[in-house]
Amino acid sequence: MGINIFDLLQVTIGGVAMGCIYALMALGFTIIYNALRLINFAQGDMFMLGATFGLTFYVSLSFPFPLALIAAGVVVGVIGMVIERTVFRPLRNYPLFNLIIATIGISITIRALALLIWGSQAMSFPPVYGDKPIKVGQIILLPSYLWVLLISVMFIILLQLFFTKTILGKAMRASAQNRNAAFLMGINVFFMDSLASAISAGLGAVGGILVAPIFFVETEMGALAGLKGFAAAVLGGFGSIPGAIAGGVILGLAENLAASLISSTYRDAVAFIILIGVLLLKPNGLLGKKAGDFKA
Amino acid sequence: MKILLNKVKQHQVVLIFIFLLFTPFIVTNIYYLHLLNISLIMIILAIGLNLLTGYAGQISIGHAAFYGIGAYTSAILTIRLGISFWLALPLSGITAAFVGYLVGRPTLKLKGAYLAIASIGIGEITQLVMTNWTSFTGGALGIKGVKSPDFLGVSLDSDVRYFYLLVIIAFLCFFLTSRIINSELGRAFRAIKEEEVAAQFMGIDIARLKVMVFVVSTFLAGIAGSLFAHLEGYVSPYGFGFNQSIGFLIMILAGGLGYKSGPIIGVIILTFAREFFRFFNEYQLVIYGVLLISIIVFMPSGISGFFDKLMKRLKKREVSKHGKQHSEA
Repeated sequence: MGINIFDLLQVTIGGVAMGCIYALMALGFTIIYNALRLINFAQGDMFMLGATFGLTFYVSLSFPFPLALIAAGVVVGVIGMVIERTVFRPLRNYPLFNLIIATIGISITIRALALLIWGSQAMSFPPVYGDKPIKVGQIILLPSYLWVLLISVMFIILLQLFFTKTILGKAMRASAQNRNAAFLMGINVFFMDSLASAISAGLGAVGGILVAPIFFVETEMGALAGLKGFAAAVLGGFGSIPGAIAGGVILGLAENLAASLISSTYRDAVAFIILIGVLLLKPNGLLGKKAGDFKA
Repeated sequence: MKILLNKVKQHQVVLIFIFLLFTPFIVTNIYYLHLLNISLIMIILAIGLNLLTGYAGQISIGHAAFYGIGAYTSAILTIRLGISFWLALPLSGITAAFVGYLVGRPTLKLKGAYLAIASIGIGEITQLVMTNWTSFTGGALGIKGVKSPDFLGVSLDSDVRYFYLLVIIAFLCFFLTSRIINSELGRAFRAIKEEEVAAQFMGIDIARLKVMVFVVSTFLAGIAGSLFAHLEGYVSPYGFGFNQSIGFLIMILAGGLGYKSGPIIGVIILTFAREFFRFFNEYQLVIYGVLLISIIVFMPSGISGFFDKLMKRLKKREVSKHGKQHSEA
């Protein structure tokens, strides 16, 4: 094998960067699951909406990139809130199966609307991260992956701070842990649901716009990203926030290593092989307590 | 026959069967007849999926993979090995069921929606294998030249002839599952769906039964796949992915989970609704998505469930009216 330690390091950094994107997706699945007890298959479409809105803000409206990033996150977050209010809340006491299919209905609708707005053509996002490779000794690093890594880690830290340091974040965790008790303590649990849906959607959107300059932007881009984020959440232990982060990073790393060491043909299969492996060996995931405790 | 039909009303079934025999004379448009054939194939799969989800409460989000495994098995067996369709058909079902067993055995031992998660993984992996293992599956182009079956020297190469084959197989599958549903086994399935722990206490071997129902439903998916391959004349990875798996789930949910007529109504209404929506051109998917959400919000037990409840309510009203008159007199 013609792979040396420096190449391996490059592959590792690229893998961890993609892993952080999966972690953002997995966090989206986790947060909404903790609040509403549903698996949201429209999460991948939030990722797509982040990229398409980001493109509109950055290119058409010529916002600076950081502003475009935040604007896309906020707009998609609001969309998430609207979805919670109009679909998830009326369906609150329905069986999980109906809820899952409802999220798929949302996914179909969003994808179809996006197709009407942005068209079916794959669009390229301008290279905001710069395309000059950075050389550190013998290691050549692509700036795009470093930026993705940096910004997504920043968002993950911000989210942790939100959940542990702010009243609102604590209220969300309380309502996820015991809804009735939280309600009796005066927490507006319905607002917490909306907020959870908004944060999930916003995180997905941030992931989407972050990778947009690396890949093409198209309305179908969310499908695979969503499923991989889901696989990452299962790997970490469904419902666990540290688990989602760990699961995402491990998945991204495994995928990149397998692609460069074994074969890139089955790159996309890695996530799902890991998914099934986890279910066979440790069904509760790495850090989950009662991961699969959701009932049909 | 009486045992076979059990609670299904016999004369109704006979009437439907006779009606179906004449369908090719009524539906003379070849395109619609082809659509009807596709619907019949999907009904075979949906009946199995309804048994799994509607009766036993287990969710598979990867049934299109088993459908695809059936289709590819049949294509490879008949073309590469020259095996007759009539042997390839059951073998396709058995191959799909075998993969189903391998997936179901470890995941169904556990409580919770593990099968749902694992089946997503299997669906994606199957799709990737179909696309990338070019020497075996033909890659993205798939396998062309899957022949129409012969029946006693008559080639079932037209949609009309194939229609009769499909009607017969669909009826057989319907009877098979009806029989399961009405048996002790079917009651055990429903017990698992309602309350797993209680079912276990009643002495039901829930893990074994869950695997059994999953194997039956993947077998039917494999059979449906084989029939699809010989109807279309080719197989390709397109149409066996995540979206198709979801499509099947939508059909059984819209039709009515846990109703015998559910999968039939769901498949036919959604197949033809999507045709109808084509008139809306680029808006068709938007309308489809909104319709889907509306069905779930307003008819949570599906179309069959909705009418079932409606009929019960009407009957109740009639009975109470009758009762009143009786007491007045």
